[in-house]
Amino acid sequence: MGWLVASSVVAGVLAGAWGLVPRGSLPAVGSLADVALGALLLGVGVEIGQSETAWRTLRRLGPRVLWVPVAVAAGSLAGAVIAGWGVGLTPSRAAVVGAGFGWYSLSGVMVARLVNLDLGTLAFLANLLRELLALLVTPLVARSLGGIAASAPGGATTMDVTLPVVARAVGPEGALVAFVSGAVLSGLVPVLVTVLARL
Amino acid sequence: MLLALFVAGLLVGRRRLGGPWSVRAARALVPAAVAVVVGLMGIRIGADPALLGRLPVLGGEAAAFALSTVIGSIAAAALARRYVELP
Repeated sequence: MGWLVASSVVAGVLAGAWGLVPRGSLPAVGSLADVALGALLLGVGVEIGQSETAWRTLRRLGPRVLWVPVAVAAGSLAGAVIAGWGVGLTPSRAAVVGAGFGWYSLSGVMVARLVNLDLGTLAFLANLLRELLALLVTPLVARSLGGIAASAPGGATTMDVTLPVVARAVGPEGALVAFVSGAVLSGLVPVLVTVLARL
Repeated sequence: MLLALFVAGLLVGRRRLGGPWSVRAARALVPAAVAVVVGLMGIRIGADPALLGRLPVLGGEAAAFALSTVIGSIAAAALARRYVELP
């Protein structure tokens, strides 16, 4: 998936920069992106909804496990607001960037659609870098702060891309908590980005 | 509208509407839709010379966001350890 996203975005940037797409058709590009984004959100909803592992684990561990994604979301948004203060963004705009929780493909496109292309590009890059950073620091966090904290760096990606790293660092039970956290955060991304973009 | 589609997807997945076909279709749809939406976003970025020129600056800001959100989430999750124990 990573290579697919990277090659698509690079090919798109080059096509746009080299004028392979006529300027007059850019509004149509925007409309097509809306349709594709709608299809993407529908598909993501089906995937999350049918994830029996997440629902079963949630039932087994009880509702207290939801503290983990709540904490990760709150910490991410607080961190984003602090970073936004440093780069001159309003708290709501900064929070939109942080609300991607590492899911760069969806959050970047949604922010570009709901706010503007500049902030969407920032959200895409910030969440891409977050995922890469998570792959690097998760083992270190697991060793120094334990299994719960190991769910934090990856954010929404702990239900897919960074899950193997978490599992290796904290074992299968910690990986289940990380999976539930990632699933809940993935479900929160479209909701929070939409709500925060309107503030 | 986008949110409504997402919620509709959640309901379809949770209630298994359409049986295994809907899940198979979603698994095929998501990577294709991701490729299309990021490719189209790339076209819009590439066609905007002002934004292209700002990419190095945006990269630096993105690094600050990535670092800050990771640190914030680790700190908050470390606090949450009081309320959640690994089984």
